[in-house]
Amino acid sequence: MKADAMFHVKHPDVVDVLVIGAGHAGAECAWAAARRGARVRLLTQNLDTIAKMSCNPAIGGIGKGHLVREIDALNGIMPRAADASALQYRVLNRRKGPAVRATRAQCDRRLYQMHVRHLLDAHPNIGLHQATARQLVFDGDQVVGVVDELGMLHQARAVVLTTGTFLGGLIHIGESKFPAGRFGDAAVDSLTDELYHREFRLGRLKTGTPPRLDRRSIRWDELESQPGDPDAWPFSMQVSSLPRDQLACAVTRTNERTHEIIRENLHRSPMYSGEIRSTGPRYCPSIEDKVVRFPEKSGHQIFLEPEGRDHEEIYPNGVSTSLPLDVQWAFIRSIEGLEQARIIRPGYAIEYDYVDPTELQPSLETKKIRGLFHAGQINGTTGYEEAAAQGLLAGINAAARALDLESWVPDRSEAYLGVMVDDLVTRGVMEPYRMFTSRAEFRLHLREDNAEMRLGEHAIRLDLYDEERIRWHERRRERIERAMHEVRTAFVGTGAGWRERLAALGLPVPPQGMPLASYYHRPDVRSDKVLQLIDGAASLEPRERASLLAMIHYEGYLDKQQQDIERFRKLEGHRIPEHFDFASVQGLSIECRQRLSECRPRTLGQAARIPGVTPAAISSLMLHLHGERA
Amino acid sequence: MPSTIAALATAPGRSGIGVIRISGERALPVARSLCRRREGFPPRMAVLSPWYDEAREVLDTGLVLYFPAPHSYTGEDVVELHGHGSPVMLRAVLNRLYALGCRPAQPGEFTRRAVLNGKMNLAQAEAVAACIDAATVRAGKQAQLHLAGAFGRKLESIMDHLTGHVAHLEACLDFSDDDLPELDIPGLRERLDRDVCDPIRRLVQSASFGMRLFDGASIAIIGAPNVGKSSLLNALSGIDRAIVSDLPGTTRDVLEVDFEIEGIPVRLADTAGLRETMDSIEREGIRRAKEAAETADVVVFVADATRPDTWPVPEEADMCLMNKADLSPDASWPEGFLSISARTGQGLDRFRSELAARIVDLDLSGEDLFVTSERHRFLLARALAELEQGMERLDGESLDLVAAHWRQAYDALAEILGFGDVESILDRIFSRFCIGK
Repeated sequence: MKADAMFHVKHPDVVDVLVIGAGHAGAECAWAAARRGARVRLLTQNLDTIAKMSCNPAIGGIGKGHLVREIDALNGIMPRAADASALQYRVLNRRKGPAVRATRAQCDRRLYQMHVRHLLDAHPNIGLHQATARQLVFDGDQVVGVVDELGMLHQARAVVLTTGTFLGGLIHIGESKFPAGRFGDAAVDSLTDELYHREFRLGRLKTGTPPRLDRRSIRWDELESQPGDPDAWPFSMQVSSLPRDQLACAVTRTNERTHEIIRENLHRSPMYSGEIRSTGPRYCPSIEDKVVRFPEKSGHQIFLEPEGRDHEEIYPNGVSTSLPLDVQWAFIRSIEGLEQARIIRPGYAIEYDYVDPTELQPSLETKKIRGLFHAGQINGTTGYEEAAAQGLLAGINAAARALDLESWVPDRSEAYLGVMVDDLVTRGVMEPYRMFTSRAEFRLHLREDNAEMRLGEHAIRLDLYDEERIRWHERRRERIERAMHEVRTAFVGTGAGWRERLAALGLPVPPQGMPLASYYHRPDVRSDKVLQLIDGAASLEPRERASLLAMIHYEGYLDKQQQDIERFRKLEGHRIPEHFDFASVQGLSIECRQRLSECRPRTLGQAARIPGVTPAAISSLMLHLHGERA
Repeated sequence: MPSTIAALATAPGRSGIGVIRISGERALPVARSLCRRREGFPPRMAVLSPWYDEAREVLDTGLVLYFPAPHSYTGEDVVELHGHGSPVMLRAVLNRLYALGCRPAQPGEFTRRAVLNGKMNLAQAEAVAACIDAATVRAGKQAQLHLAGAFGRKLESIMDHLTGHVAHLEACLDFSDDDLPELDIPGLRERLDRDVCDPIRRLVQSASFGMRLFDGASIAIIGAPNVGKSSLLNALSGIDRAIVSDLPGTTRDVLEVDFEIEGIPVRLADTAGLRETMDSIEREGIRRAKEAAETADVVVFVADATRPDTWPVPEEADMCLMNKADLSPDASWPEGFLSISARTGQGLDRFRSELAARIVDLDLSGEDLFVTSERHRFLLARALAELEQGMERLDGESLDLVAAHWRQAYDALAEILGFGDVESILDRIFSRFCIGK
């Protein structure tokens, strides 16, 4: 549709980037685009629900924590807001290897929102606007703006859709269902039709949330308490200390009685009555799913998580459900410590529309419409961190589109963000996509401790850092590199001086002199104390020391991984022309041809990762692209 | 677009029939031009037709067989021309095909295309070469087994188990201790050893036998002049190959005879007797004898029971035979000699079985599936090493490294079947092929 006279009113300002939705993806997107110099308008149905944590009040986790660190390295807002509102930090996978070690924080839901709102308000390039988007406006294959439900036209050079669960949102609680984007908020329907018109492939996904409990109705004394970890690292490199008074969570379990109540009422769950047919996240099952799928288990763990310091709401992690309200009350009260618990919000399931992410380029711009970007749950992902990371990338690239700046996409060897985006646009999704470390083939390199070293230079080039942060970054890099050089050349000796030094640290004297890394790997050593043998390590902070230790710990492995990375980049370097005709390649099966034509990979490496595309097909493609070999 | 290729598929030289194979998108139009035929050829039916040169004169008359894609050897359109086996005329037909737009096939290019088009995996493609190279029936049958995919299926079943264990480990890395029960390390170790390591170990061991099946073994017979080396060669091979006489120094060059032991092709070399001599031809023969002994897998030293001066054992000897034992019943020679008589056949069966045991580990001959190529053995051994390194780390505090090793192991196995860095593997393998396959 042309931007013609059917609108009552035009917004007086044309913006560079218009962001629809102010959840975790939308907020991060607006912020990143603004940092690059774009004038941004953030359109949301309700200015009071910006960056709301619709489900659990926690940021981070395994894989997710890695994403948050990358967002921080790109100067995003999630890590700052999480640190500013954290109630408790936990270090996960402490003893499984530095690469999979991850941080998770319980956050104060209201404080978190406040901080995000505050950051957005304070940025001169960002304008907030309360309205519900109704219709996209096109000029040919280019998006030029959005009309809201009051008929106001918002003109923009680029539009980012971050619709979360709001597109066609439908809530189920037992036998009742009603349209909503979140409990208490209206769904948005008309945008879906717009996308259908433009022949986007759409689908339905499902997610769910547990009932919330009144803190005062829980018998805390009877429950095991789970305190925070005092030695966790804050998410943001700008923050150096944790809150002193971390709140504890409590742990309880479901029991046979709970399971009996659930089993007796399964027919009333929309998941089992056939009411909901869309796919939910396999890794975050509802309690009724757990009871059905693991009948041999007599109990499932529940974490009782506070939603804030002066909050009476408790989030029972592990009992997401769409059972009817009376069943929710009954099974909650069958659980130890919750015998008198009061539900203050019901648990529910929600179905929503998503757009097949293979419709997107790696920059998150749609292939069909120039200037239109998608980020977050609309791309079939689940999780705040996944959404925020995509929002950030969409913001960077929407600003690039609007202002004719450099666009940027990290590759799989640089960041979890790169792994996620490549997975999404190459493989599509069959169920809500969650970040896992096992999705990263270069996992040993993609760690929480080195996120800024991996991405800092990109952030500077993309104008995401201010002067102060650039100075910080450069000083940090210099410090770490100096210490790393020292590690590489350090040699543990056996002379009197060494014997004294080692004894002071309680470390054994080696049988003969050897490089520091070899010394560390001796079964009688394997201690972090070796870092104290490095002069440069003294000036490092804990996160930087972790990088140094990882380098020693992964001695040999990282070099090998670097070779793999170079091989990978070589294949990524074989670019496929934009309008390449995959049908013209001989020797491809019909299936391969179809998949390639659908996904339209940009590099040979990406083509190789498309499911159903065989290595043999890649060889044919390579032959074809490079002309036949003699 | 890959071009259409043509090559002689049968051995070069005069023969009853010569087969030319054409593969590629233009195979059918080229065949029609050659036959000056307006209509196409029916799929998979032999059609007798004259073949013409550009002057419209008949070059040959033969069968034309058309296999439309994808149901052909290469997965592309294939035409086979079965003509008379004159090398000159077959060359002329090929030149005509080149003029019509085909290009000569590279060695192994037909099979390479079959792999690229998913008609077979890499291990099967290698079996094609093995089928052609098989020198004994046992080797040929083993190659058939590989061609039919038995080796690939065995690998896939191992990889399947490995995937299960890797997935289990990955779950432990991606879900925190809060969500999952503790990893059962002894159990994991035991299952991995049973389902993955052990089958791989047996495959690696089988390679010593399997590779001998194709590579064969060479045996050199050495000893003083006139101890009966040539008689032994004749007796073992069952043919009157070497000239035997009472004159010392009868054998001057190296004489070779092929036979098989346990289905393994064996090349036996009879050499000139070692002695000081002024005869320059015999001296050259002795030099060659020493060379043969240096390169042989097994060096058999033969002595004469009636002549103690022939008994001192040279250091290169792997086995020692005392020939003409029937002529010296008191057996006064030192230990370590196996008594035989090339004349009566006494002791030869025992020699054969001891020789076989030297060549291969006979405990393995009962296995039905062998690893038959060095590439496979190498990758299997690498996979095993990665698995074991991972196992060593299971108790430590870095399960992420265990996973890294096991993934490498998986990649090594996948490389055998041709998943992975395909181009480089393909190049390495297909350089071994002769043209036409």
